[in-house]
Amino acid sequence: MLQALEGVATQCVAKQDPAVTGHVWSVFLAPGQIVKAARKLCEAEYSLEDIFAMDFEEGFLVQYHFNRWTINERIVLRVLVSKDNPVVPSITSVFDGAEWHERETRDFHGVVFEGNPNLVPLLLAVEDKDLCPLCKTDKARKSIKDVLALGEVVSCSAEVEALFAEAEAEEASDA
Amino acid sequence: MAAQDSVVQQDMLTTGGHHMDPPIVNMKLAQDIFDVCRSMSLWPMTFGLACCAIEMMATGMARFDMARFGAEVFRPSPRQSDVMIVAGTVTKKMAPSVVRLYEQMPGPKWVIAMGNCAISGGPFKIKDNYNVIQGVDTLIPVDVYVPGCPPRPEGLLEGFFELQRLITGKRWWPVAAKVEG
Repeated sequence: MLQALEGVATQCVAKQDPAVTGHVWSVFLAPGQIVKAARKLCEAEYSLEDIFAMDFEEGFLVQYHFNRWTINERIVLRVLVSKDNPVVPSITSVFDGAEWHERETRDFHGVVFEGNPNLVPLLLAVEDKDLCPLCKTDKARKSIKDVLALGEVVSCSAEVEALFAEAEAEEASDA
Repeated sequence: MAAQDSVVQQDMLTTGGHHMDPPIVNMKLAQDIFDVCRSMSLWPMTFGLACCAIEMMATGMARFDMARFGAEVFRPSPRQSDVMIVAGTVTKKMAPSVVRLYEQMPGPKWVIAMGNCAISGGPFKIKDNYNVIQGVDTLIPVDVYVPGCPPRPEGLLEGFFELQRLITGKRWWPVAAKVEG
């Protein structure tokens, strides 16, 4: 069980096959819970690997990878934000190194990290601030359920289940 | 961010571009002697932008040893350099710095565009490119182009020979024999 995140309100906790996904745990969170979750993981001696966003039909899925040196338990925290208002609280108060990852994500997808002390372009030139180069075209954009697998669910809210629901229904009809 | 750090302006070079005034007293023989001296003591800038810089370093080290041809002193400051080897991909964010370094070099100065990225954008010359300058010659005047991805050290040496030919009007080194087969 995922002890480290006890007390954090998760939307979905699922165990995944590391050989397939590279994660042991996949956790969906509401944007408001990410700082608390990061602090819990920091206290449990997890280190932050990276932060990035993925452009889906449902919105931007911001992903945080955490890992530990002593045991192989790679965790991905997933925060889904809408395209209209892609705002996530910054975790720089917990991991200072997150600042650059958040700036990179801001450069590439336009996801704003509230509370980041220096949210200026990291990789893009300053006049390309709103270029959003990794945002997909409508044609290339996919749905979350076509790209990600939910895995072995431990607990799951109705919202996250709904994200993956249709795919399961289709599979059932195929069978 | 200061105004000069932005690449919105099309022409980033100072007034007159790369134009340099002719010498006040111009004696042909003296100039020719100076030109030979300059071409045989080219001081490149220690300045690598991407993987081509690895080949540039190899060119400077013992195996290829560009010191044999008079270009051994890589200078850490543009104020002391004659040649800028643009070794690698020039991104839009890097462009103002490249231009500033070029402007800081005292004349006479030369530029070698090393590798396909610096020449034309190379593999980054695609429709979806948003961040790579399509050829460093859109920013600063280039004297010698050394194609390759990356070019071999021999290629860069050949670029230096060409630069020496440009400066003095003569090729100073033997041409490599063609390998049979």
